[in-house]
Amino acid sequence: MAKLSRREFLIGAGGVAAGSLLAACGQPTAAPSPTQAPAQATSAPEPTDVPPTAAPEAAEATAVPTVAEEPVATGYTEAPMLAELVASGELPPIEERLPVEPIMVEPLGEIGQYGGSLRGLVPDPTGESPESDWLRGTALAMRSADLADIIPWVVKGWDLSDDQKELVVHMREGLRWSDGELLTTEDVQFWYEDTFLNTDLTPQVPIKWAPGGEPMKVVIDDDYTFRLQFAVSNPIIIDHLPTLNPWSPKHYMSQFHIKYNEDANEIAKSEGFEFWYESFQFHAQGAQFQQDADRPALDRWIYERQDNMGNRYYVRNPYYWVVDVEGKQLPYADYVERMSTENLEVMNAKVLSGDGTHHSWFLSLENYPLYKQNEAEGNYTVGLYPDLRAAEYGFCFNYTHKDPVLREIFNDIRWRKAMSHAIDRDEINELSFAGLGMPRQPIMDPTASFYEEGIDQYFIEFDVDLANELLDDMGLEWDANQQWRLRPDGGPLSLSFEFWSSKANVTQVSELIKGYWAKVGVDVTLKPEDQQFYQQRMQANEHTIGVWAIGGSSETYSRQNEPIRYRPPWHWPANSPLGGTEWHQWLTTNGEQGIEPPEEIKELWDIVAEWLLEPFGTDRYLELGREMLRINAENLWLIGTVGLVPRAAIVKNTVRNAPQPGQALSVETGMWNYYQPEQWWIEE
Amino acid sequence: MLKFIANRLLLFIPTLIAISIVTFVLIQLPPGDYVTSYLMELEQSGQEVTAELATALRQRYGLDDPMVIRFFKWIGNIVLRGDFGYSMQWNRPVGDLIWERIGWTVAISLATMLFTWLLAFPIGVYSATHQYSPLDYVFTLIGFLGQSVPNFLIALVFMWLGYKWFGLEIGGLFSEAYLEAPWSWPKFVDLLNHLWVPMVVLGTAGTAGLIRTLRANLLDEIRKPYVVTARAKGLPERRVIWKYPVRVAINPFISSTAYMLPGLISGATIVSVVLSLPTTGPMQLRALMSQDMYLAGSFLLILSSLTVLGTLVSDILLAWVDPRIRVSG
Repeated sequence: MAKLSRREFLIGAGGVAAGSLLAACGQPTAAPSPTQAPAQATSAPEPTDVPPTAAPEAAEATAVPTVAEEPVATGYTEAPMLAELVASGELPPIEERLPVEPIMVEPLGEIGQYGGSLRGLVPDPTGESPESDWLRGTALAMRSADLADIIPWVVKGWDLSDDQKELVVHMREGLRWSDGELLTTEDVQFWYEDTFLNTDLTPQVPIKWAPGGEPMKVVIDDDYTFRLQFAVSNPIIIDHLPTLNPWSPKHYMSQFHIKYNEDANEIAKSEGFEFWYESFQFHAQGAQFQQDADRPALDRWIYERQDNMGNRYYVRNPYYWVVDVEGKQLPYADYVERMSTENLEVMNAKVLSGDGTHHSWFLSLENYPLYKQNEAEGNYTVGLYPDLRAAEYGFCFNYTHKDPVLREIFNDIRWRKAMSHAIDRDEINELSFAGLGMPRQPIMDPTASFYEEGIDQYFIEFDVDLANELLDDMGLEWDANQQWRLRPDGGPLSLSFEFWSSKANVTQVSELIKGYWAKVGVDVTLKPEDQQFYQQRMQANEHTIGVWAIGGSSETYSRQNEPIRYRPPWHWPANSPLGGTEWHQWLTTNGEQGIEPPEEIKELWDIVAEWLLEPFGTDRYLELGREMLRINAENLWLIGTVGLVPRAAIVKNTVRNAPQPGQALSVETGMWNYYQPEQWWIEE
Repeated sequence: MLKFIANRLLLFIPTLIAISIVTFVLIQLPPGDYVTSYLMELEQSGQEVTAELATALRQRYGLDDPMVIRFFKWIGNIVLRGDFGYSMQWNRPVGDLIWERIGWTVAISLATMLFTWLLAFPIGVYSATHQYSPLDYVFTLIGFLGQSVPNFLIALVFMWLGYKWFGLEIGGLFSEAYLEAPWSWPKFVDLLNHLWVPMVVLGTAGTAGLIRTLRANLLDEIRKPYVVTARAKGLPERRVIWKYPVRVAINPFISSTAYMLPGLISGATIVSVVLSLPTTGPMQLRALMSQDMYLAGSFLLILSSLTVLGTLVSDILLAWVDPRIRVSG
């Protein structure tokens, strides 16, 4: 064989390199055009054709299953797999398993058939899955279909006293745990005295349950009535009820509690722990951490087992206390499965081949065309579902920056307006979000009850000249080359832009923003960082710009937890304070630590505090809400790019009574739980 | 020989101690801890993330103790109770987790290793004895392709081909239907159907190196005078090659056993992640990424110990096989 000379080799290698470079600079893939909701082959109601860039409407009362008013007159029926157990004597008959007045739910489409299993996929055996782990969920109350009311769920009802310091709660008679024992106030008392007040199990009571600084009191009236008492007037307790589960199965958990079992420490040691409370917590744990299949629960499906791949199996709760309007005990589906893969690509491949019944959490918009292509083969329907996230990418300047010059610049409203006007949001929308989002500031989504049209459009126009004008107005002069602006003290105006680099679109949008700001003379150095390191920097008030995805912004979330997006530091202060950390310090320590914030912030803080004390729905509530949004919009402390980007979601064609494309699917309404999975059924 | 072994065993203990300290410290070095990444997940699921929750969690997992105390607790538990600690991600004891996956990991690694050796050995000898023949080039080409194309790429391609041509389910060791079923002949066939992908992928990468090394060493040996003498004396060609030069050329195979032991346990992490295999590799990767202290630390400790042990074993094997090493001490 002829020997290859050195020259020939170098030419050949160069040719290969050039060829691959050319190939890499090929055409970028065209953005998928927004699709209409596909026609459904099922008898489910008409999917609403929502153009992706419009604001989502509040879910109509008929769009999600509703709780029926009148109790069922005739008898109940149950799933075949339970009927077998009743016949063999392992389970008591259905009349003895349901409470005296079970909840009746009107299914979304039609009455379902029993059987089948709902199956979600996860790309990480240890992660949580809204498609499976969350489907079980129950709480004392839940939000109504139009998000405006809190309706009783596990309990029958409640009365708030006139001074709003006491809430009397009425439980459902005859409601049982998944092992057949009655749920009574004994379990409530156990929860209150032995877990809530026990400092080993609850080292610190969350502020939510300790209004006025004092933990709430629980007073037992009788077997099915108890009272929550607060130190101060607390009308927001109603909004917190969907997150409250004030009971623990005493007949089971007491064996792990030192007060009731003096051998609890030995039990703990035999399980590999040191103290009884570690073992107690292990057994009490829920979500994807639950390992104890014997622990009674009130959920739709109860945990059965987990194999070493991270697959989890849930089976129907034979004592579930909800029926449909014909008296059939819910849920229709017998099982819920969570199948895990080790990485996202394999999970996507399984989704495409038709595995799993419903997906959304782990799907990405970039793959939407791929999902669409495989619809026929996988026998599913993929669609776009509005999400309520205020912005996919929002940022704060650090208003309490250690550098006083930067601090002064950031606190000038002209600076923030200029930086906002310099951003080309339409381009970001096209490049990063396939044109499916809406350019807007990260204000609440339009389903909020006090939303004003246009409140999200302040300072949003892409106007480089206006931006330059504002910066010139501020006195930030250009340097000799007319390339970069200078700080008031003479140095070049250069900002360090740290961001968390794991999410693809964060990196992309940050790079785009660097380009936009360069045009108005602001030099930005991008620094992608590991997420935890970034959080540490923010907590230590060492960052310059704090960027994050702005979820947790809806009215529901803000009332149920905290309005984190509408007061400094515009995120959870413990985790990742985006801006104004020191203001937050000052406000929460009453001036002892931190830096005193400007008047607008103090005003905002007071308004938010008052809004939280106001009962939901009153005129004053709406007024304060509007004020809260207005102050944020006008002062632009949190700047956004594109929001209301819909979510891609896939539902198999064999699953009925499930949400349709165009209906809101958001973590802020509990994702799939909002559509009551107990009334989904699988057509064989 | 005995002195040699005794010496090495004595060094074993201090090496292990040093390794355990270093691995534990290294895992704690990056900022944040498991609670930080857990809070992040909570926040994404729309739940509130307060300072009290963070403190409570840190207390619960013992993360607020200083590092020295945590280290001694961990080592103490391992040495005294055989308890490797608790995995915060999985909410289960580390020992259980590792033990569950070791079975499959060792099985797959052994299968791959057998495949590699069975392929590499004869091909290597053939390549050397028929140097520059067409088949020699073919084998070399395939070997180098397997070596240079990234493992996970080959794995993905094969996985997709398996799905497209044979209708096999994507990823994993078993199809859905056989996952929970008891052992039977169809289940075994299903396993083989899935197993060929990791075996071939990992095998082809391994064979290239072994083939070339064996080939090179054997070529050196074949030129030596004693081979010429043997041929001249009339020994059949097969005996000439196999009885003498090949035995010398096996040396590199034996020294590669040093990496065999830890390789058996950790099992080709990236390919396992890609193919979604129930082995320890993906679990280890995930533990390191989320700073699941005890799981990651235990893995590193086990792997390091096995590496040291493997080196010892391979040294002994080599000394036994090759008298030259024994004599030189």
